[in-house]
Amino acid sequence: MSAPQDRTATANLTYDELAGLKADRELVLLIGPAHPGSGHMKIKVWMDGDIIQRVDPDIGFVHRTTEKLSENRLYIKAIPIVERVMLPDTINANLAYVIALERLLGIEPTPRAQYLRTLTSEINRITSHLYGIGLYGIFLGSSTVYMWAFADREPLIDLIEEISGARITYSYIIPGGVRWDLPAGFKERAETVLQYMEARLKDYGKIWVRNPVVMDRTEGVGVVSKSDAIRLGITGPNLRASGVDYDTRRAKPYAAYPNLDFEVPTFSEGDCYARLLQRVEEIEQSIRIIRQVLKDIPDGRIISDDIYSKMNPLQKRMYEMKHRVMFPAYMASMRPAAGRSTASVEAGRGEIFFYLVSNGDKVPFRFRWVTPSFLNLPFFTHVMVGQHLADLPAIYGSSDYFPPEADR
Amino acid sequence: MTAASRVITGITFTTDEAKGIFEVEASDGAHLLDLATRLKAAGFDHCLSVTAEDLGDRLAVLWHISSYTNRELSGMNAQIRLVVSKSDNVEVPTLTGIWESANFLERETYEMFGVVFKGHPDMRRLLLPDDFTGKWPMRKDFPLKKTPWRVQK
Repeated sequence: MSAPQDRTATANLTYDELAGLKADRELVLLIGPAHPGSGHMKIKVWMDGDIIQRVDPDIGFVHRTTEKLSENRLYIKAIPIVERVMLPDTINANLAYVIALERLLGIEPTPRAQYLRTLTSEINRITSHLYGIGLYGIFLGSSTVYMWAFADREPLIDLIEEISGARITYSYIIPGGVRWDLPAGFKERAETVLQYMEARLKDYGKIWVRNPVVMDRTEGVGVVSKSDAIRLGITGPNLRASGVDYDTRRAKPYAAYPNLDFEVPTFSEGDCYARLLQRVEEIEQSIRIIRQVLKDIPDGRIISDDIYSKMNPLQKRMYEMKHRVMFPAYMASMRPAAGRSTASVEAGRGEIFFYLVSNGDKVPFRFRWVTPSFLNLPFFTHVMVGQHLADLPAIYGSSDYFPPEADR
Repeated sequence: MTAASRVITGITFTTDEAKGIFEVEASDGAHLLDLATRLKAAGFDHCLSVTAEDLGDRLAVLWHISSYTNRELSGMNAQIRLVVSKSDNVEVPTLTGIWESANFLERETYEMFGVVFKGHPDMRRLLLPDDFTGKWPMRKDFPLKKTPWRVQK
């Protein structure tokens, strides 16, 4: 092309004059589907210089047709399916589905089961936030905090393994209650883990949260105003980090949350840094909730009388001996009366919404669910616009977007 | 079924609170837009889900809405329902002009149910692969193939 321009030649041009040179600066960049951060999506980015003009997220690379699969299977078989899309946070997916199903069936879980649901849900919330913080670290180029966060999920996963027998996909919550009771000595071991977590949060503060490099890269970056967060339908911690005081646990109470005392932290800044602080504060609140649950948990059955009465004598004996629920044949043959139900649950990343329709058959007629990451897609289409390309990983990481969860 | 109801800004919802159902039915596209505008003004500021139900010869299109800021409404998952006759490309008006968060949800409903949202800014497929040619996979008449188990000899 033309000879190399003098470096000072464009220094004094106005923006309009510069626009004439725009053709030289426009660039379309394709990121993914295999990109170094998290996951399986393609992001198409249009740029002017290094300022992002437009972002088109091409998702669906890990779409698993969970809705169609569940509409062709027994009700009970949808539990493992919904769990598998949101691996750091499986209890909340399980819980949301079971609440919707219980509303169709018209059965109520026992109080002890409600507390156990809350307990496992909060343990999962912490592991989900640690997962998010860890990946945020790798997005910003810190492998230390990534290793730390993933290692610190381990004691919590061990705790939930003691209760449910599984590490990630628990299938712990079933209509009417839960499958296992607390093992002996659980409260003491849980307290040790909670104290460890609290001490570690202080360490995170030193190395990561109040790290000047992190603050420089995230403060004032990817700001979502309160009105934008509402307009775009952002959900979960990202919504609260923009100053909207909304939490499904409080707005649409479920499980044992109405009986518990907890705060809903919010931040007004709405930038990437606020979203990090939001997750740290939510971990602190989850620790507080777990302590209350372990202190207040009522005695009694972990499965409702409707389901208990359907067990055969051997299963009842097993339950009395080991406090373990074996599936009565009813679980495989249940046919909820024709009707519809909705359920909302606050998962680690935001609100999970369920809409179930039964026509009296043994499979759901309509199985609809929306996951929080899907609702957080405007982080790509709106929040990234106007930012530098170099800030794209920071915004992506701060939104805790999880492709398999969004694609379902 | 219970026949309870609740009135919000002059709009009567059929409710079944134990099941979390608050429903209002729109008679046609114009009525839908009118309802949505009034509900938005009443405080429903958030679209949670857009989906459809295959009723055989008709399709029911559903918008689930909720509120982030109005504490009285935020406990509800309200739904607006519009029943239309089923054809290859069913046309209904978009509500993205009222709830911007319906954007991706309407795109998903388009590719899964063949509901074209008129006036949507970006009516493209979203989740399905580019080379997928089947029509409307979430409808009940979509042929499901059972893959036989293959045993190596």
